[in-house]
Amino acid sequence: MTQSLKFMRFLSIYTSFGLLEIQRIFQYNAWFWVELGRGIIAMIIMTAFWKAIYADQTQLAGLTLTTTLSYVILARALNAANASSVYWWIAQHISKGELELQLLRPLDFQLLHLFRDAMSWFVGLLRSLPALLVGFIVFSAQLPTDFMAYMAFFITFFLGGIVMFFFEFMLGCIAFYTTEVWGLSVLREGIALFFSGAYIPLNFLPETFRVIASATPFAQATYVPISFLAGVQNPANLGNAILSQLISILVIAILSRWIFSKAVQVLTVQGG
Amino acid sequence: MPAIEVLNLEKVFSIPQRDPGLAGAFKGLFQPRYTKKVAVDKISFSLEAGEVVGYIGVNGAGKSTTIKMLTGILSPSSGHVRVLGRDPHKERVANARDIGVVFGQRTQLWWDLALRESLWLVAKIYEIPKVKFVALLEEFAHVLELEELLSKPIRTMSLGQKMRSELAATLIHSPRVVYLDEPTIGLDVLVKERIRGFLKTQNKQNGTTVLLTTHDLGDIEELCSRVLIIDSGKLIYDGALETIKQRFGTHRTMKFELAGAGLASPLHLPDGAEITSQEGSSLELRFDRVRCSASQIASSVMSQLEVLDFSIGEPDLTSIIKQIYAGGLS
Repeated sequence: MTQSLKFMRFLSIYTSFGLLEIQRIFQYNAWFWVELGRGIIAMIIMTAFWKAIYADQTQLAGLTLTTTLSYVILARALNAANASSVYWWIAQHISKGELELQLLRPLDFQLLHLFRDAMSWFVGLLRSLPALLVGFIVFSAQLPTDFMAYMAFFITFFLGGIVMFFFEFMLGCIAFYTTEVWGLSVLREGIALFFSGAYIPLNFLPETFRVIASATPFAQATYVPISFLAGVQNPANLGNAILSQLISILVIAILSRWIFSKAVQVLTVQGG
Repeated sequence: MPAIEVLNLEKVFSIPQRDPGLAGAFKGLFQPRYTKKVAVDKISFSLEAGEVVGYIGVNGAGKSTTIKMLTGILSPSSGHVRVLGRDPHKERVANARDIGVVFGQRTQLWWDLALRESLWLVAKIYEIPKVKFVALLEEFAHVLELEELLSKPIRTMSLGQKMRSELAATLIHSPRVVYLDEPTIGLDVLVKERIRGFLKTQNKQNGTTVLLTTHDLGDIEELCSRVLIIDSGKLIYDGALETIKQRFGTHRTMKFELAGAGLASPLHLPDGAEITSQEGSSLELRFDRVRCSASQIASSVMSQLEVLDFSIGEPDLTSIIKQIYAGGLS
């Protein structure tokens, strides 16, 4: 069998699991409306908040009100579109004693989940469209006119998703030792709130915090792509952004595979 | 080369110990205590290719833990395991290609998918050519009566339907080694019969090696000529089912239907026979066939009582296993 044929087969197997995830997401549509409603309420609050902040100034941290509003509205609309569910998935399957069934398949466990998550990001983008429309029509957010900004957004959106996937996978591995990750998830949410740039552009943080936050997987997945789309970051910076994301992927992927290889050795199957 | 080779296999779990109540939970945060539980205690055995072996033991004896180590899901604490020449834990993915596993109460099928789609996904994972898959699907659907279920999502199936589907998904890639952990648990007699028949055919046609864990001794008697018995993590018997039956099956039962209301005076029986129950006109005896014969007992009872009918019962595996668990091998 030629290498290309092998690769096609490999892609076909893993993509099938990704498509399965899309099928699953569309079976649970109630969440879509809840998320849309939550996003719109957040847009109303954030617009009022930022208008009050900008009441007597035209620029803050080098950003105009329009740019900041576009950023926060985009951040809300695209809320976690490239998020990963692998962390909860691993923890839940371990606590229910069902992870064993997944490990019985002759597939790379990590790669399988990466494909599942990557497919769900396409759905995430599609499901963000109504919220984006509301953002632009009702809250006057602006979209860039430069094609490169869109390119930069899509590339960094998917690379950021991959960074986040490997990071969440590492967190999920903790469940092999603790069998639950609720406490850790609360801590993670708290850190992500400030460092992802989901609520305020990182430009507003003090220099030291901004540098630290930019290096976190949260910012790589949220701030970096949205800052290109909102005009906070110039598309000319795309090269640097990609390089930074690729380095993060390489480091976290190697680390997460190593952690998984160790964690799987301590697996204690719940319920015998 | 044996299909499965196990030497001094051991699995020790660390189990957290917590004192009761809130105070205990709080204390556990700062002073976690663990106890060691030896789930599998240095067991050794091997299975030749094509063998069907029963693996029996009470709950918590270590059966499932052994199977999980053989599948590669759990890593052994010590000892040596080879399945088709591989270390199943270190070569988990390669090992998974050649094995099939059924865990009786858990499904490896996709909950929301119709059975046909689930099986197609399995075929993709194991790279089964389409033509072969279609032929196997037709055969399995016929033998396991899956025709009506193919378009049904797994979540809507009954336990028996799920188990038949599970078996199809486990065996459709023609694995060389199959582990069945309670495959007939909770199923009715007809479904059990169908599943046993299917497993027999698969073993005969493909030479599949089967390690079967079950509490249903009917499965063992129907499918296995050899059994492994595990108790508290230790392998206490590895040998022919027939040997066990002969060794522990010396006792027979005799049931008498009496003409009168029952025993008016004490019954004199030959040495080696005893009364096990007596209710109304029904009398049940148990005897050691080495020490006395059925005809001696029958003539003894008939000389003392008026007998309408009587029957002799063969020993069943359940009673034999009970004797073994009660220390019969020691």
